[in-house]
Amino acid sequence: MSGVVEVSRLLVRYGGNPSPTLEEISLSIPRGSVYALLGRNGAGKSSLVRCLLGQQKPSSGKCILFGEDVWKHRARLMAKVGVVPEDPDAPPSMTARQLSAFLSRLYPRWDEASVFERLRRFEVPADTLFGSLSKGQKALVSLALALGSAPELLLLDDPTLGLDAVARAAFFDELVGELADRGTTVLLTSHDLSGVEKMADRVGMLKGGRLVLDEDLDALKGRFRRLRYANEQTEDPALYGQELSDFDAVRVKVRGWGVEAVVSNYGDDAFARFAAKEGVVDAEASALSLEEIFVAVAGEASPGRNT
Amino acid sequence: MKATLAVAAREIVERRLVLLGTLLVGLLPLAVPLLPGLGGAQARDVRFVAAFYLALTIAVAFPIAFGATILVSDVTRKSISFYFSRPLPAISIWAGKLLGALVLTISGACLAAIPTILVDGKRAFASFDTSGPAAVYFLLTILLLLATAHTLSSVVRLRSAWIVLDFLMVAFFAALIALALRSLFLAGFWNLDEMKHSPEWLAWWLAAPFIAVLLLASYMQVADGRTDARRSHGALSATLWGLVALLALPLGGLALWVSAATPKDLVRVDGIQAAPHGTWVGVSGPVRFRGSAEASFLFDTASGRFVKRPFSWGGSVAFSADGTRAAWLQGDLGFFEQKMTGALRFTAFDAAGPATIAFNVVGNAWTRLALSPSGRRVAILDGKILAAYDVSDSSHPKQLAAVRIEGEARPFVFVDEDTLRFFPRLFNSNRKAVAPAALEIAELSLLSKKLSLTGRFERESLPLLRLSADARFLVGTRRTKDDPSAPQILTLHDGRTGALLASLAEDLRSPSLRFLTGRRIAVAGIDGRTGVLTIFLESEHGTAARERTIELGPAARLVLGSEIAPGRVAIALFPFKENPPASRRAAKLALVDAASGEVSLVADGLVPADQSRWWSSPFVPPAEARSPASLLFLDADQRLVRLDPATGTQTVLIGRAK
Repeated sequence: MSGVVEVSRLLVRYGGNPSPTLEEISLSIPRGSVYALLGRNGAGKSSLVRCLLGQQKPSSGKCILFGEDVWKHRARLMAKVGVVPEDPDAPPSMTARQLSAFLSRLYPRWDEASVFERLRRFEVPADTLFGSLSKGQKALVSLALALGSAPELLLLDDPTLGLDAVARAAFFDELVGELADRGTTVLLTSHDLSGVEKMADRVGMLKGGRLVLDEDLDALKGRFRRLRYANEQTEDPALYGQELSDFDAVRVKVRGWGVEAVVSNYGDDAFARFAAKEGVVDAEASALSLEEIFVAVAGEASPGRNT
Repeated sequence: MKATLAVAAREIVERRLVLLGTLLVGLLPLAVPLLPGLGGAQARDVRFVAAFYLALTIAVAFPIAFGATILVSDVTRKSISFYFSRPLPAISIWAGKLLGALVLTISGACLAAIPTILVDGKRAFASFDTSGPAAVYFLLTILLLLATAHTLSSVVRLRSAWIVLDFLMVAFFAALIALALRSLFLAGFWNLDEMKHSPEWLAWWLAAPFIAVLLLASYMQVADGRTDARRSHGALSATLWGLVALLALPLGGLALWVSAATPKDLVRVDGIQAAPHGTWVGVSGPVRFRGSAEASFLFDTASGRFVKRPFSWGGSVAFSADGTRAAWLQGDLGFFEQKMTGALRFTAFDAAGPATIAFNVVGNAWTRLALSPSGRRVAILDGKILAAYDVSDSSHPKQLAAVRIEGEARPFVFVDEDTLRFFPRLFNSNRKAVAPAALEIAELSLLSKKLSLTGRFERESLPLLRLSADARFLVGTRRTKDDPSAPQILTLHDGRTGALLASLAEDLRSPSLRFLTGRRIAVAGIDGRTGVLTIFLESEHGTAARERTIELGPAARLVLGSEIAPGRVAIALFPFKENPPASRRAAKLALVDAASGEVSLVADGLVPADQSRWWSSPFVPPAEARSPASLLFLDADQRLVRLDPATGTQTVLIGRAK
């Protein structure tokens, strides 16, 4: 194990729920990389983040940060971790200035100037009660505070949820700048896939409590393609898609003009063979955005669960 | 520590408005002089009282409010994650919040009183106990309220299935602890009177572990539950009930252990009553390894069988003359103390074993009772009503008579199966107050249910009385002066009429008397510094003639025991008047042959077990000559010992060597 984050066979089960929220999850995040953890609501993202923060004890398996079990050594490890939670949890009766002063007593290194500089850039007042700030402002204050300790690892749990486009842009711009400056390792969960796509090195996707995807973003985008073609071999729509046998078809939809499929093992040679197949007409392949890949993979998600 | 203080400071800062509010509320007592009709010192007093109760209210309300919210609300609102995603150890989060609540409470109480102190000066609260222990009690009270409120709030607000366990456990352990404490209190495990400190000390020794358990459980709730409400409740419940079990189960075990004491566990015999015949004795004393607990038993000195009796005011037991039955009043048990009312218990010493029956015959600590010579009848004088029962069928007592006895309650005995005899009162500490009826001797026939006067004592000569086993004689002891160490007059009276028959001693200190076989009467006492035994012979006319006087040797005090064989009397001679262990160890046991006057010293440190004591009934017949009880002695360690007079062998029956 050499990653900043190592998750090994993580199982999380809540109370009397018969099916686990997270089932045998294993992943590794190397230092300096940005890992985007994707999944539909209830897929288990927040549970994984809580486990990584040492706030949730796994039913089995381990979460290792910087080589140490985070459940056992949470307090020490949190000195190296910055967190932006899904729901801003800072005490509402404190201002950003007071929060910074409070946190400065807890972290071995605390850069108060950088906190206020970021707040200035975000145009968030430092002397307004946290509870009085807008959701976007709270997220930005949380980010400023998370970066105040110059963390080696940032855990961002859907931080842009509910933010407007401007706030989202400010948030991600700051992150990109931080990464460029310091090479901080980031684990990010978000539904803002376009924002994630600009930053992420690697992507993991949770579906029904299982990690169904875990690979570099470039490789992921390289192997996913949308194929469109007509099929002259048969007029029975039930038989459409059989010609895709050389591909791992994630999703197949029959349109009025033909077939649209998303495949996860695209290759130019394979596509050439496919296009030459009898009955396949006007075959074309196009790249997918991360969001499209996510929709294709997670689209047929199992019923949502509370995490 | 730095992190803890940071968390505490944050809590205080967050609730700073509460402190400001208490300061403002603290101004209210200053308006007291504005009330109509108040002024000067009176206004100051009212102001102080108002400020005091204000501070007290805050000292009670704040810990309850903060205990119910400070941690639990953080968990339910999920805002506790703010702390857990920081480099804060769980103990700093827990202790910081606890410290914050404590500071807020104490500050709030003080702030409410400050305006009054500023106006009236410190003398306003000068009467307060600000000593160390008082401060500790104050702090413990706040912690108790805080921890209890937190626990209850967690149970209710975290809304997990653990609440079912909580309800079951609280019911189980509350019952277990209450029963265990009740058992220990009733057994006298804690002697509140003799405790070094007041009962509050005990309360705090029970409360302090309770506080510690609640605080530890709340810490585990934070440390192990962290941000997970269900797990948080689980950690609280598991720790709480685990620790409560650790304390309560041993407490229950201790209660069982204390209540399971047998005669073998008696450290020494403090009280003993021997049946005139047979092998049964009533014994009581402290039990080893059981705190201050004492136990009381009917004990068979031959077989070791026993009947346990709760140690109570009903300690005195009535044996039948033949030693086959015993009866006593056993105090009813309240929740933590014994009531002063009780019900009759009756034990028959059958061959198969002792069988004890509880009768629905009630009495109280002042009720007197007597058994007939055969033990088949029992009489109880409760208040002014004397009731007699036939207990031949011990499961169905049959009332024979219920007669109203006028005047004060007096001692009585069965002189035969059908006749009860009433005697004058025992003590006459205030002679002027003696009512004429208290001087009378009367007999009640259970056949005719008639009470008839048979004799009377003169008021001036009313002595301390003892009765002969056959009820023929009464023996009176009267002081010549108020000084207890002065010589006393010992007189022999007719048991039925009270008529003076003979004066047996006039110049002995602490005289005592035994009726011996062969119509002999032994009178022992201290003459100067020498123990003296005088033997009298009953004449045919009922008077007594001096047969011989035997010098027993140097003694400051003596105990006249039973006849261990016809004509052989056991007497313990003490070198000192008092009864410290040294005097008991130095005591000499002499066996005196009444016929020949021969004195033989047989053992050191033994005292006859069958001796009259000031608290035992003077109407209990002494052990019969050569009965097993006549061979029972208490050694220097107050162990019950059986002496073989032929060999001098001592067999310890009850008690432990020190």
